[in-house]
Amino acid sequence: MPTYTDALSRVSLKVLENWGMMLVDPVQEDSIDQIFGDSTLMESSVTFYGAQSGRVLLVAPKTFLSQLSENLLGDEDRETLECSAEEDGFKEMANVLTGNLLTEAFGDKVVFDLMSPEIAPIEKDALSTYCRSNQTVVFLADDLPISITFIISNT
Amino acid sequence: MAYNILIVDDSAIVRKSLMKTFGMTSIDVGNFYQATNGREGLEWLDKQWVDLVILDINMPVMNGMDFMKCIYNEKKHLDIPVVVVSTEGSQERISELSALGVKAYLRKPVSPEELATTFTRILGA
Repeated sequence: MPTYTDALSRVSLKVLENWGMMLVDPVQEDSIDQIFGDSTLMESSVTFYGAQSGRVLLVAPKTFLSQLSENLLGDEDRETLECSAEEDGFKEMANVLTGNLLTEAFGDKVVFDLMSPEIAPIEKDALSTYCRSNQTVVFLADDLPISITFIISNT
Repeated sequence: MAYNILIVDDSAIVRKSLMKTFGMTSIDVGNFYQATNGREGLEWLDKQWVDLVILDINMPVMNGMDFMKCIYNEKKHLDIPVVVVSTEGSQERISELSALGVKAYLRKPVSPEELATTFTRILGA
């Protein structure tokens, strides 16, 4: 099966920088465990169907979600939104990333159906499993860790 | 002239950030109306004057494709332009949307420049 790590890296960088308005640094593989520490982690994912089926999963600490919504809205607007705004922003990031990644990986002639993004807390053990996959990239965005995994379950 | 804009998207943060993006352009916006799905969007069109609709595709209750299939059934809505702002990038989906009457398609994330250029092209503002 082909890997899409380059496409995943390019699109993740673009979305974190241009959409999330974050400063992004790469992370060395041997420091992944350390940078996530013992923070409470959240997973946002989008399932897709079409010529290929699979999921895109984002894992980050709750502090990342707060930073993202602050970047997107500013403090003032954030206060007027419901408390779910932080989760909403992280879900939308998964949505934007998935749409852009599928076009980057498979071209614009292929049609995919994207399901609504989902969000849930996640254990650190699950994150370690994702990070061992060769289709995961990890970044520090505004000094906060995020891992992005592309899973193709195939047809 | 100030324009009334209806944003139809299930994500509150996207609606807010689109309003912010409009704020970074020179477009004179009178009112923003917000709907979380296509059905709510159609309800707004029945009760308010709207100059432009910004529409997402993937939404619960009534998605963007179904909204497009309904909007122009009403004669009074025929002149309201719709711009789709979505994550999907396939040419086939974009052609499908054009066939349903969508005036422009913008891919998320949208820059203020893209928004202003599209707006000017469609409304001549």
